Amino acid sequence: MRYSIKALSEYIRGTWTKKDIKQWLSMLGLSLVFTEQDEDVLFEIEAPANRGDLSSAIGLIRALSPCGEIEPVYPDITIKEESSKILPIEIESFNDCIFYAGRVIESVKVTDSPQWLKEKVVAAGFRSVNNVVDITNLVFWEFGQPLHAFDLKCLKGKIVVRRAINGEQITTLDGMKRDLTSEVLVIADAEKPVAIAGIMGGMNSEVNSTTTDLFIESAFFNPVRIRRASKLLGLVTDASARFEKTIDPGFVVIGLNRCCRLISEICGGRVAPLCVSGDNQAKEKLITVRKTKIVSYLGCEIPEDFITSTLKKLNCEVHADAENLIVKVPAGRIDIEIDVDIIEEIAKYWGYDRIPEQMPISSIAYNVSSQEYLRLDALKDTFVKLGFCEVINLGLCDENRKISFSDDVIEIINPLSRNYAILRNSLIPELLQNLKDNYNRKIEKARIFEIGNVYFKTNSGFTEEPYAGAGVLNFGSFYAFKGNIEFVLGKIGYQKLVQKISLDRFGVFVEFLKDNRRVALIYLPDESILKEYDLEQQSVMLAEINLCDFVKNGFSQITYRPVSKLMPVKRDISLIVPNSVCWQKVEELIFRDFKIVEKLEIFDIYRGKNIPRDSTAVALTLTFSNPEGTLTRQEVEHIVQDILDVLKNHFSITLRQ
Amino acid sequence: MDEKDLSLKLEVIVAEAIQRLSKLNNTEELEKWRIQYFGRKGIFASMTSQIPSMPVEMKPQAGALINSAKRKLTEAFEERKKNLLTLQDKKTEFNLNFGLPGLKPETGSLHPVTLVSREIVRIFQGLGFGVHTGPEIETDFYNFEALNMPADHPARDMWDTFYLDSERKFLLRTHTSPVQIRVMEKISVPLRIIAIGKTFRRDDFDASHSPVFHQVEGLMVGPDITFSNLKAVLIFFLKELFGTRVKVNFLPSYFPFTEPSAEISISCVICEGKGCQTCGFTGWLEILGAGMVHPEVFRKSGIQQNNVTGFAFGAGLERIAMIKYGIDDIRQFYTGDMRFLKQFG
Repeated sequence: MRYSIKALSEYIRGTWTKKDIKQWLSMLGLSLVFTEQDEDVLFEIEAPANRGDLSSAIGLIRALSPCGEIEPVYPDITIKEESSKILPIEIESFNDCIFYAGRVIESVKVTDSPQWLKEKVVAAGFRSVNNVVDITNLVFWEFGQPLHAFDLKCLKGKIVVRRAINGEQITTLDGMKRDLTSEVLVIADAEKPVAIAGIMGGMNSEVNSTTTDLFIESAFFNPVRIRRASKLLGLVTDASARFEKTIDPGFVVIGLNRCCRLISEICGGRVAPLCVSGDNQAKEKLITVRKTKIVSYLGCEIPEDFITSTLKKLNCEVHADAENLIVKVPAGRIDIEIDVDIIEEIAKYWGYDRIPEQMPISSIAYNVSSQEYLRLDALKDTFVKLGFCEVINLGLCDENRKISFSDDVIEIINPLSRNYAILRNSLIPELLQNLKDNYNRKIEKARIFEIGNVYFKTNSGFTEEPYAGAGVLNFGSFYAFKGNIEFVLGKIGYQKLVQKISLDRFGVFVEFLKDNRRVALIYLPDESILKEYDLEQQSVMLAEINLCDFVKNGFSQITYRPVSKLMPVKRDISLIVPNSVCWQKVEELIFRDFKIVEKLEIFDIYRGKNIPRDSTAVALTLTFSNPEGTLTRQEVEHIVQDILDVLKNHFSITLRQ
Repeated sequence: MDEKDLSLKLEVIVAEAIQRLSKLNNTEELEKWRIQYFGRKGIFASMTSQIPSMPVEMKPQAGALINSAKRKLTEAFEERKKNLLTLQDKKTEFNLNFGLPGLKPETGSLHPVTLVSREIVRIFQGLGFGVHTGPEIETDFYNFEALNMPADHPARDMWDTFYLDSERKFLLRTHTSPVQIRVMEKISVPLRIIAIGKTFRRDDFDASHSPVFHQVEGLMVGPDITFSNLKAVLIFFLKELFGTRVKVNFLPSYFPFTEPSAEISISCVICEGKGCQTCGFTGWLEILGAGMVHPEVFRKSGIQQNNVTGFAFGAGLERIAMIKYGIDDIRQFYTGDMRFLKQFG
């Protein structure tokens, strides 16, 4: 709602300055935009969802009154009833419409508004339409009570507040034809809907220059009903926004009378008696606040006379006994329901800045953290140690996936756009996109990683699992990348995993299995995929690791083995290994049968010239350590020969000559 | 001075010179050494200049002794010179240009959101807060209802939500506040925790909005936790994070799950409160939302003790990182651009 000091001045008793109002609004935390214009200050207030009362001049002044020496003054609401015309009102459900009031006004002259009125409604943020509509808007601005004017001749017989019938239609004042459902509350006459209750009037009963008799509506609709209809129709108006925050029942008839008074003054016309249906009992609330609770909640003492006078200015009645304050809260303050709401009011007007700071006193607690977060966070250091840069991706992916390893994918039912319509079930597509984006920015080398959740459907709903992903662009060999991934796997407790190599239309996969369950994979995209990502001819490798076991079990334990005091003996050998051999098995066998072998490190892998096409040359260093004593040269030669024999017999691995 | 004295003196000079010669580091020092002994004003020159004033019978002998000492030192000098290379020689020997810059190491780096998270975890762990997590796929109950926003509550409009099913039961959490409920269901009071994680809102991208971002949530619950405790903890936090010079301002605000609610600003770290582009010429930067936990939230979390109160707060990590590092566009965080990421390495 838009206000200015000038516009508010006629509703105030007392004085304030420009400086005052800025300071008061800011102290109460009301978001605002200030513009200074000549001598005036214009500002806008966005009322919180529970503070509909601030969306009116009277309500705002009421809220500011404890800050200074001011109080609201109601405009003139007295009327002379000069007509006796009555329109019967029927309410289908008092749950949907709690109270409905209206008055007929006969013989009005609908024209342009006088200049002063035009200026007022424009300053309040409305468009000037004609004198009748402008008056309803002005009263809405004054009291926060939405009003609607019907052309009486268009209403057949009576007013009915009812649910729309499925399939019913209405053309609203904005010219749109709208399909209604039984979720929508309408104002109807004996034949047809003439307005969508609390949201917008209908074209069929619009007030225009031919109108002579009016019916003015002022009602209290169920906020939930208005909110649902507004959502359903995708139609938000000033009135609907106000109704869904719950109006002040005290202003329903006051607002109506104010409106009729202004119409008879400005447009002429004879006002008829009040027609009502429903219950307009303002439901004041009685709240008891323990005085000690105010102190123990805020952490400081606030003088009781300050509390009492503040609450009284807010239109509350306060009775104090030795222990309690008993506060009667006006119905318009829907935000005040329980004792802490009263405490908030006290704190706000006292000023948050005047409440002193004090560190809490609390006992030291045991085992206060869940390990999950800390473990995932610590794993980032492992990747950084290896030289990878952390990225964070949205996790919202394009509907049209260029690569997908699983059809199990969660769709957002109200996505921002098709580009962000599904939840990722793998980190790889976004990492590949990152590599592409970097390459497009002329960054030809990159190593990246991400730790984040991926999402899957389950029988009962949805689930998410933490994953680590990595990608490299033109950065080292396959073996180097695989070594990095194996290093991470080792750190997170996967010592010996079964590997499975497979190929599909997306490329080559090296899967790491534990108990037949895939826990990690390395992915080498097919050239056709790389082409789709503008990465043709580039070396691109990706990997991802499921971290479910890791968040449960943590990092591998560090197991210390005493360092041998004897000089280690090393031998380099170069082998021709058939490609069908699973190297893991080779290592397992050597370590099982030759306890004297302490370490086995591959230092070179070569394929090509002089090596059979179906084999790979592997050069490695064997480190021997014998707890019983230093090994002689001959002993070492023997052992090497034994190893070679075993490798030949089991795997057809031969010594490279 | 007789012959004996002279001979002794020369012996000392020679011994000392040879000793010093062995400790020279480079040819520059060697040249200084040479000038000291053999220069025009050097030791030997001054000794030779004394010969004419000596007794006649000593003169030939003195000349011979001095020459012999000079010879010894010349030999030693030549020998040392051979071993002592110049810097130029070293460059040639290793084929290096020592002045050229080294190669940039290929290091890894952490994302700025991670850096900020760690800073925050460090600060709160120091105060004895634990770190907890909750799921990113949440239910309506935890994201809204338990936070005192029943169905059709107008405050729900404060969070534009992505839904995963047509009944709108499952959604992507719009804030980390659901962790409050999950923690209170699990852990007994008193408790103090923070939670860090991804959150999702149906906001279009612009320089300060992203449909995905990160939040830190904090919660402290115990007997008689007060609003002034909330103030003290958050002022400490913000001063640790942004430096002791920042001023902290508390203003009333509205969240359905706290009462009273506060919005907390710090004095602009760019202009120190004078007013600039970054703070919209207000001198203040909004940084945290906070408040005393609403009794309804306790009720929904199954906490029933009477004197139990608590405070909660939340903040956006990207916003903190943007202020801390002067990043002007939130979209930068999600580009995966190495030129961006490497700056935090």
